[in-house]
Amino acid sequence: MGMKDFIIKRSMFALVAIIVVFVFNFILPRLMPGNPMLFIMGGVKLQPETREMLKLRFGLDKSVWEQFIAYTRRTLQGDLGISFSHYPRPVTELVLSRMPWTLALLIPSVLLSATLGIIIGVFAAWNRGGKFDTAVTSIGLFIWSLPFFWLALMLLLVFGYYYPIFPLRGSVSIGMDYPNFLSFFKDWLWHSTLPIISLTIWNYAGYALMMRNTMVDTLDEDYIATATVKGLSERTIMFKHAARNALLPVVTQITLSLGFTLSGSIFTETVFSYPGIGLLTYDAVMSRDYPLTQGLFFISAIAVILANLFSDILYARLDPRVRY
Amino acid sequence: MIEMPSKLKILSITLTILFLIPSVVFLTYAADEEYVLNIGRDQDPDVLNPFTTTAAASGNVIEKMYETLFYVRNDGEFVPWLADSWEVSDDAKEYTFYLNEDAAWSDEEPLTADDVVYTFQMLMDNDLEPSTTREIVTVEALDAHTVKFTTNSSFVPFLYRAGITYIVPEHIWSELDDVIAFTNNENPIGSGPFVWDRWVEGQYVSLLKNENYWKGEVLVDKVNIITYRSTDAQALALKVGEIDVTLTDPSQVGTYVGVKDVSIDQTNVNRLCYMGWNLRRWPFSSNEVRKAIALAVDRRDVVESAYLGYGTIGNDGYVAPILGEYMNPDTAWKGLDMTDEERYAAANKILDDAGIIDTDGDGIRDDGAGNPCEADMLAASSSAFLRTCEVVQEGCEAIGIKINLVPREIGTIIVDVYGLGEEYEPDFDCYYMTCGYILDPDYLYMEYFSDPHVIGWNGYSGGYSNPELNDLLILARTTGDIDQRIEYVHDIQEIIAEDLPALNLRNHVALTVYRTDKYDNWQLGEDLLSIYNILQLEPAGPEEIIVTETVTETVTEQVEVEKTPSWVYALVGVLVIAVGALGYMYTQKK
Repeated sequence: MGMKDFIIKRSMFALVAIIVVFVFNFILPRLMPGNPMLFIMGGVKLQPETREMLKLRFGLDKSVWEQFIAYTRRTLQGDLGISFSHYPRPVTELVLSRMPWTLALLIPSVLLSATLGIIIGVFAAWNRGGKFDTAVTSIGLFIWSLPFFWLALMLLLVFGYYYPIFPLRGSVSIGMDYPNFLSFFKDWLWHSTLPIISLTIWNYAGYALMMRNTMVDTLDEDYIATATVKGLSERTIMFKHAARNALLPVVTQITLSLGFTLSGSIFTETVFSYPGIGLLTYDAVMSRDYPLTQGLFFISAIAVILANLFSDILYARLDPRVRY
Repeated sequence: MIEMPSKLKILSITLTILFLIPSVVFLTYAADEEYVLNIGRDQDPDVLNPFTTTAAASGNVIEKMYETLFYVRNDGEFVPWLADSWEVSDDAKEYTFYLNEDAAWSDEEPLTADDVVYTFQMLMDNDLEPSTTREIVTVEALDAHTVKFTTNSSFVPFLYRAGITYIVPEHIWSELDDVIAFTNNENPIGSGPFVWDRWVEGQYVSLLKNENYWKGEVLVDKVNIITYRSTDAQALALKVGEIDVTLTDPSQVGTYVGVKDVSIDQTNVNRLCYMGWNLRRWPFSSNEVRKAIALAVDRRDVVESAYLGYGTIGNDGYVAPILGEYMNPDTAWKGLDMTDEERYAAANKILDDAGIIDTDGDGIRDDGAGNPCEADMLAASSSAFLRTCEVVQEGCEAIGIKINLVPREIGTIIVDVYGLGEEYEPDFDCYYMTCGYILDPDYLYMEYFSDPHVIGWNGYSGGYSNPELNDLLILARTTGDIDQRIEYVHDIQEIIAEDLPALNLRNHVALTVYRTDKYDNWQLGEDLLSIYNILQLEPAGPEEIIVTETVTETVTEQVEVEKTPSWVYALVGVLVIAVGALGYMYTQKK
């Protein structure tokens, strides 16, 4: 099987997964006890006329098949419905307005944590059994075992309260008018540092431990011994022979985490009152906003599926053995 | 040992610098304006349409821009606002409001009787605020500043209900195609002391003072309603002075105790914490069982252990002390002056006398036909709710009634218990819930009138009906004479205390935490987030802040300067750690 066939095959799997998620997303709320109207209204007591009007607006007076066809048509047009808790604002608009904030948090934190994790993991494995390795492994395990929200709260307490270097909330200062992008960027960076650091520290531990462990296994391989006997420099063996091969599982982990962190940023955004997708998801669940929850679930699922696809393709690109 | 490649060195330094840049950015942080009031909230507004919003945070924003005919203080006094005065006809069918002639919208259009007429007509046309508008037959402007309402029948609570309805500008709202779909999220125009500045979604709403406010100059220049999604972060923000006032709950009170310049205010509110039960089902179909549980459950323990002493013991008449003379003191909890043993003995006697005894020796009483006194209690998953349910469980266990706690998400309990209109069949045994009510005893009509039932409220969901009570509830809402009305409301409480359609375990108090170093004259006992309080705030003199010896502990505008040393220490600390880490890595590779 060539690379092209492999990509086509993997893409088809991803497409099937997206269709399954799409259907599941429609069925799930309808399988819940009671009828959808109960969930639309939540605990709100409405007059019968208002209820009828909302039934018409949300198409709940039609049969399930008609609803499914309408749902399919709308989704293909990028319309994920109307939010109940932000009525009458469209779900797509709400999600798109929050998405940039989350991506601005996740991309730097994943890049930073992956870079740090890989480099430190490589050095720890190379010096395995030494002080540096012991320090990296124990600190990594310690961080990895910490509840994430606790870590975030401690950072907030130390750097927002005892040493108020960073703000306690949000992504921008209150009432600020920005004359140019740079001033906005500086303000955002000031607000985002603690969330980014907390995500970075936490993710770093996972990457560093994984990189260290796979690198240790790789260093025992015969081709490393061969490279040493050949008289190659330590740097060449370390990075070109060992690290490159040890990197594969870590790369998979990084790409997958990109997909999952979209929804996994809930804790970070809640602790730091950061207005991203995670907080929107939390609000949607707490306010029983089913269209918004469905929309976010759908988008998160697609993100994970696409990240998985990307990971498969990247893996195949890095390791030619995979696709055969 | 291998040397660290030069590229890696550069990368390490870059990463270190990346982490440090924001500290430098800190220097550019803008200080607060002169008189800014920062209010902390735990949620973001949803929409700013006063008639369709369901978020309390929206209410905090709306009431600073829109106004009502009068403001109802917590002591029940009606404070004239848009209306200078009002009259009620003897038969309580005609209500006339005399508007302040200076009242104006923030866009400088005059606020007239036509705006009031438009507002109520619009609400009637869209079936909004039905508890108020469905009673209206006509609403007319007698002149530019006089509005007269005629109601269907004598309806005493109408004065209260109409008086607290927000008035919106006709010249803007009449242009709308659909007022229900109108979010009002962009530059709302109202008549209030604050006008729109901006809303950064998920973060804060800023309002500026209305320079042309018709009631006179506003001292506070700006109000920010800031969203903190973590209660811990919100508490820290208040302590450092990032916010000036916010609501809190009993579990957070301890974090504020002893903090300089921070005080806590307890405000009585008309919110009852009650145990609801389904009277259609055994064992709650038995009045004796309900009476026994009312005695056995230790309401003191509910207040003390579930709410850490905040709140007061609920009475059997389902009216809180905040309603003043309307509360019937004779319907206080019967177990108030009794020991545990005395209460259990009295409760056991009620059940024994009714023949509800343990016939099979399993420790659980039954009705003699094999139906045990056992029920599922829906318990919302908050610590205060769960602890209350445990107190109920303990009290019931002591008298041979078994309560099984069923943890549920609170929204699910609301749907299970109250349902939604005719499509719902109540399917529960009992539950614990809190509910806020208007400052008028007419809420008892909404709760317990059953001819026909007010669908979705306690009477309907619990299956309770009492024709004698129905008659009294009607009399209480149609009798203009205040003394007579009080008498009817007392009689209503007598019946409720006898029938116990729900068990009022605790009267809620709202806890507000506020700073005293920036503003004086907080209206304690009122809602400190309300416009009524804000308009009376007086900025604390700057000399008072500067002269204080402990100024370095107080983070305000002046103290902003004091942050620098801490910042330097932290920066140096981070630098030392970073250099140390790099140095260690360097020595390792040697």
